[in-house]
Amino acid sequence: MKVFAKLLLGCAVAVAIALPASAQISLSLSPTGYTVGVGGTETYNLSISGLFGSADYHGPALGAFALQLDYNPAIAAATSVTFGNSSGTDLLNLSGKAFQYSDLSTSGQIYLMESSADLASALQTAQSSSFTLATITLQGVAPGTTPLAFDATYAPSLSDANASSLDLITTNGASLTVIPEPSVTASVFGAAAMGFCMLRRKLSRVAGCKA
Amino acid sequence: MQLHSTLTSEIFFSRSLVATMWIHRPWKAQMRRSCGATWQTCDNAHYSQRAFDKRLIWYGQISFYVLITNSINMQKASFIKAASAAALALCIGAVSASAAAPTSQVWKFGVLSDTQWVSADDGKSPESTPASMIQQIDKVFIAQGVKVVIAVGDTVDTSTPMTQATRALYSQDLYNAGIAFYPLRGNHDAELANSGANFATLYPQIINDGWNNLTPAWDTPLYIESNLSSTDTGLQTLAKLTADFNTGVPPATPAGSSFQVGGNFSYPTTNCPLSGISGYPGATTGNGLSYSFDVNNVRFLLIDQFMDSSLGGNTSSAPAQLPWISQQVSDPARPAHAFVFSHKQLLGGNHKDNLFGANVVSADPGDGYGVTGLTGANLTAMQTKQSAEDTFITALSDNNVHYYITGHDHHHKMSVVQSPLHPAKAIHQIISQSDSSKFYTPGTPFSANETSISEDLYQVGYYIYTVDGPRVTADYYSVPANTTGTFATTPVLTGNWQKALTFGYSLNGQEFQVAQGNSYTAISDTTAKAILNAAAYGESGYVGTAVQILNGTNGSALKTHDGRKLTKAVDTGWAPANGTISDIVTLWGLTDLAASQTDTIVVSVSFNTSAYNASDLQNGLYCLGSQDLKSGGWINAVDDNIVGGTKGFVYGPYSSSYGLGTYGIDPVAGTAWAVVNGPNRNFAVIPTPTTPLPSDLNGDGVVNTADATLLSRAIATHSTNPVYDLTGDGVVNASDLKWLMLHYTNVGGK
Repeated sequence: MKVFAKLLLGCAVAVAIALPASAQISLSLSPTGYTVGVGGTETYNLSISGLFGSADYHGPALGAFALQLDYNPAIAAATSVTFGNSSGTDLLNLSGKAFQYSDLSTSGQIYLMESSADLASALQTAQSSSFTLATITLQGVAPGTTPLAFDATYAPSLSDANASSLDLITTNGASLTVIPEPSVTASVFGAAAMGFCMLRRKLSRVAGCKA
Repeated sequence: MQLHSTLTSEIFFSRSLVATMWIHRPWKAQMRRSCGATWQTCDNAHYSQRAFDKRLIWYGQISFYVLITNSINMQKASFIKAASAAALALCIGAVSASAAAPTSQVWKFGVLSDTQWVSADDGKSPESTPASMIQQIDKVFIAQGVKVVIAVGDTVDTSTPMTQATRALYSQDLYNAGIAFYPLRGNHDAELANSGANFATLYPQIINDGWNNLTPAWDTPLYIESNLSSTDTGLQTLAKLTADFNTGVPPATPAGSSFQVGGNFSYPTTNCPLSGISGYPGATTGNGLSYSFDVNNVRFLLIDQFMDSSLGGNTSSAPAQLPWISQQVSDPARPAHAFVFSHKQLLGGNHKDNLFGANVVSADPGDGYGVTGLTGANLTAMQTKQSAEDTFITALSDNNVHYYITGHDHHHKMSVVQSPLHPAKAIHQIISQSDSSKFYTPGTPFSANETSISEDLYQVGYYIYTVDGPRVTADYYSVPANTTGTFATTPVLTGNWQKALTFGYSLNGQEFQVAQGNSYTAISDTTAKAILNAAAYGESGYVGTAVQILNGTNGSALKTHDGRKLTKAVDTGWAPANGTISDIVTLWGLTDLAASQTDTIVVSVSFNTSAYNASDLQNGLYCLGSQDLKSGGWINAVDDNIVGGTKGFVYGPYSSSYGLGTYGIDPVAGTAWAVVNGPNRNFAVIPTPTTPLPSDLNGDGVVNTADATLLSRAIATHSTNPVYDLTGDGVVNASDLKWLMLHYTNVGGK
């Protein structure tokens, strides 16, 4: 029993000391892949993770972010952006005074910016190490697959509550696969089947004559 | 009150000239080979060359004694009178020090502490040395333009010849940038027999008159084995170390020539010679380990408490050095500022052993506070230790030493420590945040002789001290460690630094300690002392000004980890008028740790209202300004306010009914005042700015959503226009948007 306890303690210590020394801040879209029909819509969560949580003695809270997402406008269209999570909770907008900016007017690009008006202490208390910044809805336009990716040239920027930049380590984008509408699929399949039957009948007649 | 003020001036030839005169590194390597001896022996053979070089360096020192017999502590009631007296003092030229050479140039030094890696090497931390962390910190020291870096002990975790040599290798980034590095041994360094001998070999600048970049032959790690230890018992094999250097975080390749930073080196050879350290390479037996030296207008005094190796790691040879310490800080030829460093502190959070030895009993917090019933040897030990602490604190307190800087406790803690025997004698103790992979949590017992100012746990950190004539500003930067115990993976520090705290003092100002819930109105100062000492500090142009806080309460609720309330130490400092109507007053210490704003306070600064047209004063053409921390430009002080308030001008005295954002001119008191809460700390009376604020992007006089939208469009279009780079970091991004928001609702009123 004692040996087991020691082993357990050893494992716990090993886990404890294996904790990352500092956060690896990342921005992610989830889910990573959706499939919709033409005209259908799907909503992605834009989340941040790796912030220093409230358990830290003091760590930077997220005070603002600015980013650009890219997609193929021949396949999809951005229809709406909502700041905060799907329940409407926005951890950068505790007092309702945050500045929010989104621009979907440029085909294939989504601009998202938000800056909190809340005090650093309030943000630090409210925010956990991971939370949802916004939700983004895309609509399928034409069959195909498009990435929904963080712009490779202009990296997202993050700021703490005191206007100091936070170092973003990774970004993880998503994709949208658009398939033809069910009605279109059915008609195409049906037409193909009819064509096949007609061809078969024609071939049968030709064979009969020969006989 | 007597005030002793000294000034030291150093004038060097340019580094390049010295470099060409000084022995070249490849030559030195050649000499080592041709001598067939150790590098040090060979180097000693060329001391005559060095002496010749030194004759070419004119090192001047001018000292002044200014004896002021009148008290200059001004009471609140005499505020206006004092302002007049200050102006009068300027007119009559109270001090004549015409021969003074100005030393008011701004320069910086850095401090890091406890570079200990306690976990297995993760590929970036060989030989118990957090090499990557050190390189990341050195990178910011280089970027900040420091001239000197001080390491306050425990340079490695497990001390062996190999680990010590490894740590020394990672000083090379500093040397290559022309930055002097002055380390101090801690208990972890001293746990190795003869570590002192190695230390002076690895850091020859501490015994060679401040000539840096002389660390021997780093071309190959083989040197470590062949020259420092033939029986290495280090944590890793040489092969592993070499692999680390080749594939992990290789130390910088030496570049450039040796260079000298510092002069007037002194060592406690008389009272506390080295003991039990064989093979010590010092030119004079006993030189090194504890040492003091001067750079510009600062004396650095580093105390090694392990100079008698027979005493063991938990006792101290510091008591024997007290005569030398006292002599160094009271030296009439001492530069204006003096900073005293040691590894162990006087009163620690986690550690109760201190500069003068182990705690006598478990209830001893370090200074014997609260300990009763001691008898015999324990009583004698306690009395001896308290006497040493009293002598130490008194020496520093009496000789205008403001900061005593230490390490050892692996967290940031700033406090005022009183002598256990004479409470009127006190010093500021700054326990430096560590650069280690392990963290300590404070615990009982604590001493009531300690007044806690700030505390920060579980971080990696460093400090930049900026010396500007009589003024010193310290910035503490940190990155959260994300653990309260130990981490095993080297953290990414670059890009994650936060300026967590700024504090400072001035030799021409005062300090006011304000407890939580107490009023700031006791804060009142004039330029009287600044004017009297202006020449000694190389300054001129004071017009005579007074400052007073008219309203405000210390509303902080911050406590130490163990629940003791923090006190604010608010320091005033003065600089002469420079494009401003009044002299410039600095207020340090009003901001809490990691906060971007102060309590709401009313700052009032005097000026000669009779020199200005009454209608101009009435129309708000003059105001209390503050100097923007990022741009350095002067703005209306209320435009720096953070979130909230209504901007409005009043011609008349301040009233408690006025809220945040109100500012005014009081023609009767002859002051400009403002209700503020922003982070700017330099205040002066200025002509009210007519140009739009940097954040007012559309120039309509207010900073609001319209400006934020403009900025957002600029970010979206990837603008590089510096107009939008409000933070001045070279890019237009989310930080600028946040900066604009911080100055959003109050500017111009809404």
